[in-house]
Amino acid sequence: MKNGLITKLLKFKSIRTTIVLSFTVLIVSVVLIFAAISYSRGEKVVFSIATDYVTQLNEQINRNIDSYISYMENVAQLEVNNEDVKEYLFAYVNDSKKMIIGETISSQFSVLRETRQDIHNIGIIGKDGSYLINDRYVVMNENVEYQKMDWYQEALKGRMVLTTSHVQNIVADDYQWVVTLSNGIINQKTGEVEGVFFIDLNYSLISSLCESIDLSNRGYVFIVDELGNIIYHPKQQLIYSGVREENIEEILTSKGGSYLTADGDKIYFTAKSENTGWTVVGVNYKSEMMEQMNETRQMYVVLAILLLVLATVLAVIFSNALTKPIKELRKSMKEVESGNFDIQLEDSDSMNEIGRLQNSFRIMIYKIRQLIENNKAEQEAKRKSEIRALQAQINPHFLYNTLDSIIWMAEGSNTEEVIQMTSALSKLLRKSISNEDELVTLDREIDYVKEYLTIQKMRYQDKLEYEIDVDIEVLRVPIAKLVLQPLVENAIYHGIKYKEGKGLIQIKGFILGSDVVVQIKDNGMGMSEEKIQSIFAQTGPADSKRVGVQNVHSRLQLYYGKDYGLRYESKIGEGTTASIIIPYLQ
Amino acid sequence: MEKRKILIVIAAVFVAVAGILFSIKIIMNTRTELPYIIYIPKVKAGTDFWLSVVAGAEMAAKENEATLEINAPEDEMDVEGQNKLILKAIEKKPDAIVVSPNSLVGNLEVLKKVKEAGIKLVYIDSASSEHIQDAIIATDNYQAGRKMGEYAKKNIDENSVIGIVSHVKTSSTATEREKGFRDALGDYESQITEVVYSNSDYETGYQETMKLLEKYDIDVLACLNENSAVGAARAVVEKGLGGKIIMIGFDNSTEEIKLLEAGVFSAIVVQRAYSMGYLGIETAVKSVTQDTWSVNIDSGSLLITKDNMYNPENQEVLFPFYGN
Repeated sequence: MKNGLITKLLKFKSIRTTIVLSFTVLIVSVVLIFAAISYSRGEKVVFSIATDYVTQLNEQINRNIDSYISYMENVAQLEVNNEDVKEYLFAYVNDSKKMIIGETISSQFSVLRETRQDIHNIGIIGKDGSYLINDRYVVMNENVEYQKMDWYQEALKGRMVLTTSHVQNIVADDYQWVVTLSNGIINQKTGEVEGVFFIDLNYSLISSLCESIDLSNRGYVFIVDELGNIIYHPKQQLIYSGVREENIEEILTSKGGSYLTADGDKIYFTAKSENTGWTVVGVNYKSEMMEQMNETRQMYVVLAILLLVLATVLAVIFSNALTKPIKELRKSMKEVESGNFDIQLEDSDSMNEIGRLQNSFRIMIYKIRQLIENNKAEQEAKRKSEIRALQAQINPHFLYNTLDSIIWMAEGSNTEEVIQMTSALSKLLRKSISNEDELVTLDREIDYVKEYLTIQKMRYQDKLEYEIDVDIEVLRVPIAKLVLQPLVENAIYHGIKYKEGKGLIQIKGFILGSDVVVQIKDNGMGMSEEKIQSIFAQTGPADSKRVGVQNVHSRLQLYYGKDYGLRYESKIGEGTTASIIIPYLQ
Repeated sequence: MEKRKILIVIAAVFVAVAGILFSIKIIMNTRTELPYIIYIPKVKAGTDFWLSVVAGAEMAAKENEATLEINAPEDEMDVEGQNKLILKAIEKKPDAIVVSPNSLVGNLEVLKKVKEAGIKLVYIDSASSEHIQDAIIATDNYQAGRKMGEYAKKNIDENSVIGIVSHVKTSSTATEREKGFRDALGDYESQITEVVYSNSDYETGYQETMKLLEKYDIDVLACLNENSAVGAARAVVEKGLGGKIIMIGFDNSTEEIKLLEAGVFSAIVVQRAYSMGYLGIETAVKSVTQDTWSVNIDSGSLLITKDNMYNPENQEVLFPFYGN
């Protein structure tokens, strides 16, 4: 069923449709393949772009943080080896001396704090409780148990340590979010770590760095340290209160790079800094990336559709251009088919197959037209020679009969009659020769017949009478030459000649409708149907007496067409009427 | 015949194109329809509590891709100002209006208009006298009171004398917190000698506490809001009882935190303001985009002692960080 439908659909009558359809099918498949490839590649492209982008951002954050931290490390290294710092903490000098040293350290600290806005606190604390934070006038928070703080305890072990983000409460009335870098200070007299240097980096530096990253609408960046403590997370509070979760374990165990979270929607892009041990994590939502991807895909779909429309339009235009000459050729052929050879075919300037076909067709039509014209001319020539032959046929036939009569009269020694008949014949011959025209007026034909009848009346004496009654209107009608005489002759030889008693020939001329009728009526023997048929028959045994009627009929038809000519009516024993019917032309 | 076939093919292509373009347009349109929410808090962000609520609200808006507009009255007493803001918000035809009503009854009539306009109404922190809201996100004050009571119970015996510094007698938060505190004390509840009221005023709180301390030999003092707590603490410190009696505060301010650090307060119960704001907007978005949502959410509270106040999760609540 389906197959049948397709075959049916493919059976187009025109080349144009076939071309349009094939073009369309071809282009549709090409576009579809292109779209399918782009479509499937879309996902990979979007993901790889996202990965590159987020990875670069992560590395940028790492570089920035590393540079801050390494700067602070340099400062810390410098300060723990600072002789003034050591003297201030460990040397048992008097108060005024200590005040002077404290002044020196304070000014160093303030220079550092002024050049680097991101340094919140910078200070030293001795194991014995002496301290100097920022400057000599800063009072330590009396309620703080700094001895319990990690950054203090770890530094006392002689290591440089970096804390996670926390609220620094060491200065009275000051609670600031910072990241603290601390290091132990060695008392050279004992060789033991007896003091701690610390520097607080403003946390807002890190948070604004992370917040300034624009991943996507919902995407975000967070940082965890090596132990899994959150350094920065935009939803820190939500995570602590359990409203949101972040799988820190997964990040610590992952070997970096990017991976999809267990819930399948978030993609983590991690980058760990070897310097700080912190891992920067960029988070993107897969659903959001899918949206981007869908936009890309929609673009592909729209593009594909536009291409399809364009292709269809082009296919129609191309096929039109291709099939237009074929169509024109087809139209011309149809004209020719219906018999019209007088078509104008332009010489095609196109040299392709169709152009050549058109040219060949044009030449063929030209040749056919030539053939037809040749044929027409030949036919015309043939007809003229036939008439001449017919005219030529009459004269000897009549002469033969008349001369027979004259001989017959001369034998009877009727000199007077011989003279009369010979002079009538002479007039007759002159009339027939004098005019070369094929058409003459009816009255001339009548005159001619009168001469003829004069001759015949002399031959048949009292046996032949004749009457001529022709309407005045028809006397001027043109008629083929020598048509009446053979009919009159026929009426005499076949009608009157063998009749007992007097014979009468009546010649009438009148108008009947749009035709002119000339009747030659005799009251002779009459003819059977077969006889009539036989005098019309063109073929048959050569009979000089029959030739007259037959060639009158064919000459009339040659001149006036198939509707005109000669008609015979006859009754055995009563007579025959021959009617010439020709059109009445005024 | 063939012409007609071509026309049909072309028509089919155009219909397909039109159809696909139309569906793409629909997809695009549905994507751009983000929820539009207006939040009217009690007061222009100034205190840590309201800063946290607003920060949480903004985070939820970002995460849910909602458009959030925040318009706050000048102060917490400004009921009329808040009503005007609510009316203005209705005119803007948002998908949802989130309010922290300043008055139990004073905002009710205007808030009813929100519902009449077919806009979703979500409360944060406090409610109206009538239940007209689509959802409320607040601290469960009974549970917060219980946390105070449970802490007190661990540190007292049958001889301990217990006092309460409440804020406003008729206030729902005061009565619920007190009930939670009393319920958690269990058998010790009878040892509560007296409840005094600060009227949410440091000075009154201080004076009332002074009277209480003179009247009784107080061992445990539970304060039910920030004003009461700070006022009472000032009295305790003045009496030289700082660190000698068990004092439990409520909510946090820098002064209260310092008192906790100094040991005047043994513990304070704090509300999760950030979560409150966050869940408030998240619920508002859900009420617009989804068929079901939680109508009553406890945003939670937290008991913090001096020992654990610098734990990562506690310092986050006590010292909310807003960039600078």
